[in-house]
Amino acid sequence: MSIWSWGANSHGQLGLDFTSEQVERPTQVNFEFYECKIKQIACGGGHTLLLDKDGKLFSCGWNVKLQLAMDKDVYTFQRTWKLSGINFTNIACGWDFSCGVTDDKFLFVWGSNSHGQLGLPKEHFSETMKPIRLQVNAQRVSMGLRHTAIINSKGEVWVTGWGRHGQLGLGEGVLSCDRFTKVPINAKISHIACGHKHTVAWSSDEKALYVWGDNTNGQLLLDTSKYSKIFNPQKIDIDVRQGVKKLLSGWSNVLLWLEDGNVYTWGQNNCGQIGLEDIVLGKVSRIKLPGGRQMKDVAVGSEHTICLATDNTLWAWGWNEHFNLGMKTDDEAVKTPTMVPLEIIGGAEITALYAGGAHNFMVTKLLEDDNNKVKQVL
Amino acid sequence: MTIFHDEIEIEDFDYDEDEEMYYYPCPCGDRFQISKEELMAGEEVATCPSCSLVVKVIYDLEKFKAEAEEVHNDESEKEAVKA
Repeated sequence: MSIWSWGANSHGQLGLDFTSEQVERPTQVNFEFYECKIKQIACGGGHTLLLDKDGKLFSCGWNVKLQLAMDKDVYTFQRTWKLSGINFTNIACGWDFSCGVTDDKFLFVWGSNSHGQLGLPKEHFSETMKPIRLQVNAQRVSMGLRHTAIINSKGEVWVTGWGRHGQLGLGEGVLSCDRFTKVPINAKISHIACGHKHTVAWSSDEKALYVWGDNTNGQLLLDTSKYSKIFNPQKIDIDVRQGVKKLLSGWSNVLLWLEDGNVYTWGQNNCGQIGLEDIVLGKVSRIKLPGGRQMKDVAVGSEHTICLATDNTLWAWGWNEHFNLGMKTDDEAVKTPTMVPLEIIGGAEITALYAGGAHNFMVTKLLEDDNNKVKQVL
Repeated sequence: MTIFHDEIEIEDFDYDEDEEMYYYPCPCGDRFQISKEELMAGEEVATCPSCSLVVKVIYDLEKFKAEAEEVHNDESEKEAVKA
């Protein structure tokens, strides 16, 4: 198993043992720690968390708000010893804050609490926090620029943090919140994604979308001339009767990947985030990969998207100032899915993609890996 | 003409009192920044040290100056009390 990274590297978030404005193409990360297998990678603005199959946590990048749970910035993945002995099943990064869900479904949070985004009351806790365990039952979690949303085992959404643009969904009177508070939605929620100033949620039961927060760029699928901000969750029927594989959000754009393979995007398109040249603001666009290719995985950064096709090709679109897309392009805004050159990985199979602000990670496995496994079993 | 990535109200910036700098996250992973001094001089463009993006700071110059003056006076008073 190998890890590759590329894009913005101003704070060493690529784990390549140096800082630089950017890394132009997928570059192998030297990560031999305990020969572990990667379960998940989460990318924040300038930092990255890595979770291995044993539930152990590693981190690299910017630590200015203690978002690495380290004592200082580190430019290669280091074990987060402050969280040793804890078995994580799921991790997430906000802009400069982080969290992990444990195997008993509790939530550890650390990093910036400047707007109460860790759910720690500001009168008792500082603005930057070492890891602390919350008595919150979390099944799924998403962190945005300065707010956090979790789904508990009952399918309820609980939020905390910055709410000046309506992103908490707690009504016009709640412009910020420093403890987890239940969002009034009468449906069971299955997926959640926090953006810059908005939140989107999906109910598998109802096959409906719930949206709240900033709608300046149509990210809530509401008429931008009528609604610039929404402070209460609005139910939106986008005529989808499928299951959802992933609901992801960039800063001001949203991507919905369905079980049947269809991919829908909406929101801001100033950098080509939507993946189509001509879009109608506030309406859903359907994205197709060239040659009828099907999507195998997808990750959304602040203003770009990377996408793996089932034929092991990598595609990218959106903002490319920091080679976010893993290739040189003439224009900093790439408006349609464009193939990322990957000669460097040889015949390896790409198994997963992750993206944060303007940086990306890709996990590959050599076909031999499977053979070795068989040998070990024998 | 400058193309702004976004327009951000001054209330949404994080203020570092020691550095007298206002910060707001940039999508590249770094931060847009503008100093209190620049704002006092009427500057309204916050820049990111790591990329080409810029944002327009939405603020009322007169009100900003008045508030800065008020804080300054408060601090002077505190000093006076201490003395």
